[in-house]
Amino acid sequence: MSARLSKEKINYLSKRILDVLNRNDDVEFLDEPNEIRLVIVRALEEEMKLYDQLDKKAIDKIQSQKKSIEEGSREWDILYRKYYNEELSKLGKLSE
Amino acid sequence: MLKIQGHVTEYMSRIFLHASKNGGTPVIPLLEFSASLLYCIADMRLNKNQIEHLAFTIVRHLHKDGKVILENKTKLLEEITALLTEEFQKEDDLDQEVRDVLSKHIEEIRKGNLDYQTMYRMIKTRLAKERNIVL
Repeated sequence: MSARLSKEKINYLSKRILDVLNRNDDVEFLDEPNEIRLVIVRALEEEMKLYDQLDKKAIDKIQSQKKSIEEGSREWDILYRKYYNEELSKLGKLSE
Repeated sequence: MLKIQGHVTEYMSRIFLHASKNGGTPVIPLLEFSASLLYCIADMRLNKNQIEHLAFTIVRHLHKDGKVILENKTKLLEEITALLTEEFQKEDDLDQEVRDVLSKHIEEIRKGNLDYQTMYRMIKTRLAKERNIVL
């Protein structure tokens, strides 16, 4: 579930999101469009780092179980998804 | 669709031919082919929670940085979420198509000792290029 986006994908998405901002009448630009696009790039990069942290937390949580769970097994996958989503939900609530 | 499938089939045929000319020697390093590998490849996209959080992070950055005035953050959040969902869906659909193509050649992959994951990436890259999908 740990996701990584390529540099090309991040740049592409930032341009598409900039188009969304441009079309939205409720958004007013106070700087050059490319500067705003770079803010979006930074947000995307920060999020990817966050996913890496969640990935590590989920794995640490599985490894801290008393019972040894083999990586790649169905049980491991289920627990990984569960712990990853739990960590992601916590972040959502904290940042709202 | 049929044209693309044809390209891929031709492309795969060339790989299999190359393998057979090498006397069955693996052209591409062999990795264990397993259901779990298929599962891993199928699960690389962002899920709904991740997409929603990503859209939230983008709006938060835009707001915090002060380079834009956002009159309606909720509406913008919905628009960005919709865009991201659409973009990642394109890649999901592509992944499904690659799996479908490879499933038709599963015996040849096994017999030719070809690495499923490498084949997967090669075909996905090719299809993405043909359809202008940025990976």
